[in-house]
Amino acid sequence: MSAHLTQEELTDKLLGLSSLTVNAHLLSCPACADDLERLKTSITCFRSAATAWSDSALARANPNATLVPSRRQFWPAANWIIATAAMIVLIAVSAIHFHKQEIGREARSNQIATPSTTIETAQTQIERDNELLAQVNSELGEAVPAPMQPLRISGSVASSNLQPSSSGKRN
Amino acid sequence: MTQTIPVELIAFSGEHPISELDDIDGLIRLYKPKVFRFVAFSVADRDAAESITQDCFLKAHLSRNQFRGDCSVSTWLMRIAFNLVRDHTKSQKFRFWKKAAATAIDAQDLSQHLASSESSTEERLIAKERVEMVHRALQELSGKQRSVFLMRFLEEMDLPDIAATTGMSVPTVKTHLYRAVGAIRARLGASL
Repeated sequence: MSAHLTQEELTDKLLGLSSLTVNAHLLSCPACADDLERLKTSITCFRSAATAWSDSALARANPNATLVPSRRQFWPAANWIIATAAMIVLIAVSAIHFHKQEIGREARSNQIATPSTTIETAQTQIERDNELLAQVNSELGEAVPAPMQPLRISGSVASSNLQPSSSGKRN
Repeated sequence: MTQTIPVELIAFSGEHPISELDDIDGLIRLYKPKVFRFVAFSVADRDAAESITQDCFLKAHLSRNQFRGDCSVSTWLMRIAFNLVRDHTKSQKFRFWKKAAATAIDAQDLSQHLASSESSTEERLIAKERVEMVHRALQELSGKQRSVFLMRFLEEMDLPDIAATTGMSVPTVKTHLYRAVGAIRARLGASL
């Protein structure tokens, strides 16, 4: 083989798939041997540096980090929780609303069910009011207004005082 | 890095796959370095890589009942990671962050992690430069070429496993590898 190794032959040699012909050429061609050696060394150096870098990066990262779902996987779960919570709130609000409606309905049905009681209560109230009004009227009719009371007393005193004087004059 | 995988996890032949996959902590402990490394150099962003890696294990855990045991757990996880990386690189967010490059993996930072086994300063500098060259060349590859290259030369997966992970045929995987290696060789040849 007089020509240099092809790209495929060099790669096959790197992969460990080379033929006897390629091996023989490498022994006789320093250029191809150098080329191959440079490739091999470069890849080996890269692997060594990459492995060291990777180990260092992993060591820097939190070693106790747990497996946490990323946002992409987390959101479906969160959506389910929110939807469930919304359903619970909706059911609770509906239950309260229906409960209130039920209480109102019961109250109305109680009122409709006992009209005689309501009428009796109203009549009793009217009677009480009438009694109270009559009492007020009677008190007003009998009582003398407060400003008039001293005048009435002084009038009676005056009439009693007038009698002796007139009798004295007579005497 | 060669990762040791316990026999009981390799031999997932469908007998007890679900019970083994239930141990999410064990899976993370065993495979997180591999998945994170592959994802990090696929998207070239540390924060995105952490997020995708976490998504990968979450997805694996949630869909563990769908694991039929027709491949190893490692291959199955890498397939999930490969699909997540593909979805991520197609998204608008990836394009934005690629432009912003706030948390992008820096080539110089990467080369600083190179073990200093070389004898002279010059050799160390050359090695660092090569690491940076490979990293930059990787960013210019297509998504499939980059993934296949990383699976083979970073994770040291064999070709049938890469084919099973990516859903490609073995010859297609080889074609992508030829192109990826060619691009890296061209960059190395141009710079050195």
